[in-house]
Amino acid sequence: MKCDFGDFFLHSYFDGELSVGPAAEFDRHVLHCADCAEELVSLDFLRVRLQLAELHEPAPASLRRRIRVDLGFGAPPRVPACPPLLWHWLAAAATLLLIVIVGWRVNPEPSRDDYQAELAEEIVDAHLRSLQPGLMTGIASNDEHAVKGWFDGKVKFALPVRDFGNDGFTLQGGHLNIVEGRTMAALVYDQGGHLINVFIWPTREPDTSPRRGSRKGYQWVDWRRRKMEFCAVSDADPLELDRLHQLIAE
Amino acid sequence: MEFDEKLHLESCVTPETIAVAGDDRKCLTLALETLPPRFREVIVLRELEGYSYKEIAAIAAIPVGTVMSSLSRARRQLCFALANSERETHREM
Repeated sequence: MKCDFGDFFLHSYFDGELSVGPAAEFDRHVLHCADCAEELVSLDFLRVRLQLAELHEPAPASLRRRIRVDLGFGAPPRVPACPPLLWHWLAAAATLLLIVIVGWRVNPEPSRDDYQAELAEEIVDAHLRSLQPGLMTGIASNDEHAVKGWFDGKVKFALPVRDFGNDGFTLQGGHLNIVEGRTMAALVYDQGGHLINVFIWPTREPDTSPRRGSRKGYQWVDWRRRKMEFCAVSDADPLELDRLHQLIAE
Repeated sequence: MEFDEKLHLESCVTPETIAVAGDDRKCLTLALETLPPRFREVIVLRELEGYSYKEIAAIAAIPVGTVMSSLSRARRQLCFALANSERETHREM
């Protein structure tokens, strides 16, 4: 699998096991990723082939109910509908091609600012994913050295890990994310009960002053400094995010 | 003249289509048998019985994370086994 993002989420998405936010994000990802679209087609084909082959007698409904009750699941869960069949992924691939062609003709060189805003929206979705219990793994610690040590060997860039507890932003830990195919480190802070994820990744772009936005009720502030890009996301007050930006940028 | 769907569908079931369906079933069965028992178990519970990850974890007494990794590896191995088997079939022909 050539796509890191797909490697992480594709099978869960295919099996309808992702919650609404991440599933919607993966829906959007498939429109841009031919590898994932192709992989989904293959998985769909395999599933259809297995089911049509009638390899076994399925368990009767009464037995399945009894198994679920015995396992403590009670009534059968509302299993989300399986992703659409083969034709949907072919349509998605065709749509992707059309979007690429039209986008190139209309705007051969997309604005860097637009791209930065679009990426920030993807990062907000990554923030939402991180709030779901059990879905993300990382380190929970307010010790700067422990958090920095956890990232050693996992990312190829130096991370400015600092605890700003005296200023109201307590370091909580960190985790890794894949957004738009890039590996991003995320430092987690708590500010008065609001969790803030600060996503950090290397960039070749020049320094920028902070850009702000909001999505799904979450605020984000993004800036570039010394070949690193930062994007802080939270439902905290935007002024607090600005404060954190100033603390990190010092 | 109206299109008689029932007649059309019935006429699609020929000795040849039955033989092809039987071959595919055999091919899939053999490919499944190449999988380690744990992988075969999760594939069958997921693809044929439609259980969720949590249910598979409870049935197989393994963590949900193991269900997820076993399923992705099982699917990969199954596709590989099927591709090999189809290559062998074409060589024999």
